[in-house]
Amino acid sequence: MARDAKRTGNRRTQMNKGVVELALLSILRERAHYGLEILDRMNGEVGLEVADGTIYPLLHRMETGGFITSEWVIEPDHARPRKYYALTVQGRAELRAMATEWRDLSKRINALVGKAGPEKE
Amino acid sequence: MTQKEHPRLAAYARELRWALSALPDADRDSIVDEMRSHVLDRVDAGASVEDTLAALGPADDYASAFRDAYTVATSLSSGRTPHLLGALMRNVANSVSAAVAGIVILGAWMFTLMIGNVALLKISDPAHVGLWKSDHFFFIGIIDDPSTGRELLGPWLLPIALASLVISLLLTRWLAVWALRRIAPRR
Repeated sequence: MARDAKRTGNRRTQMNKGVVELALLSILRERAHYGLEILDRMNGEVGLEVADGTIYPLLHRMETGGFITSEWVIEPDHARPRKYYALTVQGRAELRAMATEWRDLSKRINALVGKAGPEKE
Repeated sequence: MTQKEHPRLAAYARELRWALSALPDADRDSIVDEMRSHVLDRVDAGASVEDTLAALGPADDYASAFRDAYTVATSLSSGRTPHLLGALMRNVANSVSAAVAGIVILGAWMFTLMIGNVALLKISDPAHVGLWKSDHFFFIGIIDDPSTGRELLGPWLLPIALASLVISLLLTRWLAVWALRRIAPRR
């Protein structure tokens, strides 16, 4: 049982790696977010199981790549400044390209999984 | 803020700052400040400092992801082959592209080293060194009795070794840039 759970966990981790960037850009399409907010949405809303120590290096990398931009913001209702991330024009273009690829891949995978039918025990 | 800071958080911030010493000051400060903001937000939401820091991982491990990305970005922007090769080798274990590039580069340099050695020997002993062929053997190197085979390259061995050196240099640079661009986000 524990081995099955571990195997499922590993499989999900591998799949998650490919979709975390897409999820990040999709979240930022709506509005600017700070790191913890992005992390909580990825883990809560999307169920990606992104580790705390993973999100900030990813944000840093995406910013270096020119897909997102950041700004320290002092909010009136919060004691400390927070670093907010927003999509750049290049990030929006990348999101459109990634979303197209994702939809195409999902359609093919769904067709393949549907063709295979339910697994017999 | 520092005076009231939790001792574990202060220690982690110090370790992280030290582990990020290769990065420019502004980047390092921003990463440490963001880590601090993350921890304090989690603490505000009811988590403990210890649990939050444990979730981030050891400071050096946390810093390594930033360091690696910085190394790749700076080596690509510098364009210098030793920097590119160094960044490539640091990523060989983490990237299939880097591993493939590393293996091809290693193979190219092993060939260059081998043919370069033979070319140098050819200068001192042209009668016994070369690419030898007969009905029974085909090899590059030193032959005991030159009358048992035919030497195929003659004086071309040295130019071929030089060409191999140039090709290996170009291949190293081209493959390193190719692999590092696949690792780094595209700009």
